[in-house]
Amino acid sequence: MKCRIAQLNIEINNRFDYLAGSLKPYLCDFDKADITVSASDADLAAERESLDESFSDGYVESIAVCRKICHRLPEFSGYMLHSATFSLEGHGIGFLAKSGTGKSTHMLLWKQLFGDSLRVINGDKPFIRLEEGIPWAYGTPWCGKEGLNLNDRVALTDLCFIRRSGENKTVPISPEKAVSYLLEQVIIPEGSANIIKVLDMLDATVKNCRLWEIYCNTDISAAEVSAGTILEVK
Amino acid sequence: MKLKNQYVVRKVADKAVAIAVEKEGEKTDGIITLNGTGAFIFGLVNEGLDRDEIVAKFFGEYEVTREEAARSVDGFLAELLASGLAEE
Repeated sequence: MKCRIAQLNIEINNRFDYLAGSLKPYLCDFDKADITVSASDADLAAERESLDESFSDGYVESIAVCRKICHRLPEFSGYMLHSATFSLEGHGIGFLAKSGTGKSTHMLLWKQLFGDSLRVINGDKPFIRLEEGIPWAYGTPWCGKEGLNLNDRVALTDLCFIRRSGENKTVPISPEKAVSYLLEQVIIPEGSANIIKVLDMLDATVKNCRLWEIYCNTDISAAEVSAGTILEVK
Repeated sequence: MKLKNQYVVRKVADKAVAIAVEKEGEKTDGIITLNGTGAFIFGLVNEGLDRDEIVAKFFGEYEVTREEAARSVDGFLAELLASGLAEE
C-alpha cells in the first residue's frame, strides 16, 4: 500500500488487512518511495514478545511496521514522540506519559472543555519532523485505542508530562528535567549516526517548547486547572 | 577499565545524555543522563582513556588540585564499575 505520512512517501507491503483500514486517510499514489517497509516473521515474533497474546496478527504487524518506520525517520529529520498531541488556539500541545497513565484521558477532558476547536492530531504516536528548527507534529495511523488521528500537522509549542495525582496542579519544568522524561517516550534508533540525529532533534524540540508537568485526577476540574495554566501563561 | 558498551554522548538541553550503541548481535536500550563532571569523565572513558589520563584531563579542565581530581575520577569510575556499566 502506498501512503503519505508526515510528508513522506511510504510504501507498506503488508500481509494482513488490519493496516488497510487505518491507512485509508493516508493513501496516496507516487512513483518513488522515501521508505519501503514490511514486517518479517522475525519482526512479528519480536513484537509479540511485548504484547498480549490476544492481539491479532494484523495488529502485531501494524506495530512492527510502525517501529520499522520509526527507525528510518531520523534520515528524514524525524522521530516518533509517544504522546497525545492536538492543536488548540494556536498551540500545538503534546501530553506525554507512560502507557496507562492517562494522557488520552486528560486530552479527552480538554476536548470536553473546548469541543471542536480542539483538533486531535494523533492520540498516541505522532511523527515529529524538524523543519527549519521547528518541530512539527504529524498525524499517523498509529494513534491508540481511541483511533484519534488526522492527516494534518501542528507546530509543537507545549510538552506536558502527565502525572496521576489527587491534587490538580500544573507547573513549568526545566529543560534539563524534561530531557530525562522525553527520552522515555521516543524510539531510539540503531546506529550512532541516527542516535545523534534523534538527540539533536530532541534538543531542538525542548528549546522550542514550553515544558510542563501536569498533576491531575480524572475529573473535568483537572482539565480546567491545566488548561487554565497553559493557555493563560504567555 | 572499559565500558561494556560503546556510547553516543551528546548534550540535549545542556544535559549530557549517553546512549548505548547496539553491539553486534545484541540490542541495548541503555540511556544514561549525566551531570557536568560525570559527563566529562564518562566521555573520556568512552574514548578509551585510562585512569591516569582521565585524572590529568580532569585536572586541566577544572579548578581543582591533583588530589581532588584523582578523588573525583576514582569515585566516578568506582560508580561505573558498581553499576555494571564498566568492567576491569
